[in-house]
Amino acid sequence: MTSTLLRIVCLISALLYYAAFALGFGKNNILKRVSFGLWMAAIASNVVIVGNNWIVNGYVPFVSMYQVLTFLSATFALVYVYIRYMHNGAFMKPYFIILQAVVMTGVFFMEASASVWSFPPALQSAYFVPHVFSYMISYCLVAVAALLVILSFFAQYKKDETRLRQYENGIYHLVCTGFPFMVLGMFLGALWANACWGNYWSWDNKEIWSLVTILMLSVYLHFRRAAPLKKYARYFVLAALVCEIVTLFFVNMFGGDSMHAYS
Amino acid sequence: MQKTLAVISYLVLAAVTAVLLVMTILQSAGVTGVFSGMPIIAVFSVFVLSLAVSLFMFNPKLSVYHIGFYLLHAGIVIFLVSGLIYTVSGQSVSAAPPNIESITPTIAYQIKQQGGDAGELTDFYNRIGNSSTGETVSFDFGFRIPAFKTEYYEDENGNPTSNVKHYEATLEFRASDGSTETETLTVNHPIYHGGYKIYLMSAQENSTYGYQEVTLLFKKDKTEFLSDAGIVLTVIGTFLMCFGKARDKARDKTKDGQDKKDKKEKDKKKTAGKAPGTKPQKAAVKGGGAA
Repeated sequence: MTSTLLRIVCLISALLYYAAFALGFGKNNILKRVSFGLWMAAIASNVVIVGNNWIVNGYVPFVSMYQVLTFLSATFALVYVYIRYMHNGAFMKPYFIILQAVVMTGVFFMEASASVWSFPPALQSAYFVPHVFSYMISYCLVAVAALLVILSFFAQYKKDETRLRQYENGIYHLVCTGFPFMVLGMFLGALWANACWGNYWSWDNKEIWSLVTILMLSVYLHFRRAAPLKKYARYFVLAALVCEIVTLFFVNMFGGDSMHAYS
Repeated sequence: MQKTLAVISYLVLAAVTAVLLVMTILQSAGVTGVFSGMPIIAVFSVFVLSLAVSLFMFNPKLSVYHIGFYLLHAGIVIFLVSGLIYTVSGQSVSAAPPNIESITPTIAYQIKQQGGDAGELTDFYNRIGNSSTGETVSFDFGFRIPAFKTEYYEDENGNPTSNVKHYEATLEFRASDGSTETETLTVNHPIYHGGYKIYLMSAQENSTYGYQEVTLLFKKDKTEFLSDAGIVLTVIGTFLMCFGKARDKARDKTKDGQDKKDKKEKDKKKTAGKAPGTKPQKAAVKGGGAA
């Protein structure tokens, strides 16, 4: 697939996500069904890009930021299915969709890597895919949790106790599901680093930021258990999202010399 | 079912303990690389899981969440302690052999070997030094790199690009009795020799002098298996704690729902027993709400 065609499919996917999000708030059953159909179409076009990247690489499409974000957007759908059925999280659907839309909008402005990628020797490891995939799952969940934190502030302002409780429980379930995957991702990275460079930990910028993200979430989980601190817990999920964004984007852009320069 | 699960978990625990014992004996007998890599991580994972199930079976009141709590926090402590032991247990000596430039300062010694052509390297090196700290580590074996291979990716026309696909170093070791042994070293796949774990860190062509610079890392870390154990405990503990808690809550919710159902039925029976004409009372508690 040419990069122009990929860009068009990406745009279609993003627009479909936005439309599905907007129609999802309709009270009418037909509108809801249309929204669901549009969401499925958006996921399908998203998966087409992921599939194309996979074929081009001949390997899991985690090569560039473009490929990682495309995969991340599709992962939101997968994670939603789990949250929907295991934690009764149907009310979170629009937030998953809008984040997919935002991610695909970002992807649209990126250059599609349609050429064959050279896989450096250091990345040729069995740890690579589970390490990245674990982080993706956790990133999706933390992003939605942070969105719910912002919504919970509005609910608090409006003194809507039912909504506030719903959001707070949603945040907790999302963090509880995402946190272990973030820990798994970090320790798989540590094991990989030990196999590749002989060190579990190198105090690299990306590593430190990902550790700070984990610590933010662990502070949330600990504060939530302590009555006087519980009301401040939510802020740490928001802080975790900020750290997550820094880890994912800014460290690569402004991090200087990094062992994760190719990530 | 619970009894069967308990028996299975105890048997798995016993089997894994036996495997760990055999591995410890092998390590003590001088076999290197026993407690390292994916197999040991798999063994530790099975061990921790069976330990958790056994704990739960031993005391069913102990929730999955609590088992996770203990494993996670024990794992963090073990990982940090093993890291601390590794950091403080260094070696020190004073000179660096020719053609070897040492880079990293602590117990792990990184060396650069100039050359790569077997004809140039007649000597086996038996020590490496660190120019910044003045430390040198001596081995009870000699080593050299008689061959080094670099493979490059090809473009659409089949011509090699500048992107490296594969590095492969051939390492030749000479024991004190003069016998030699050859091993292949690649990135991500360290080898074990003489109590050291040897890594192929990087390699690059020195265009000025026209030779290949090969960077190796020699590492001696007796606590590596402890670090791996700490990692396994932490990860499994986190999953048990986070997912176990959710399951416990779901169970409580179901139990709560069942209680409400029972109460509803009891109230229905009460109202049915009353005199005809009496308006039946709404007994159901408005249920639901988020967990």
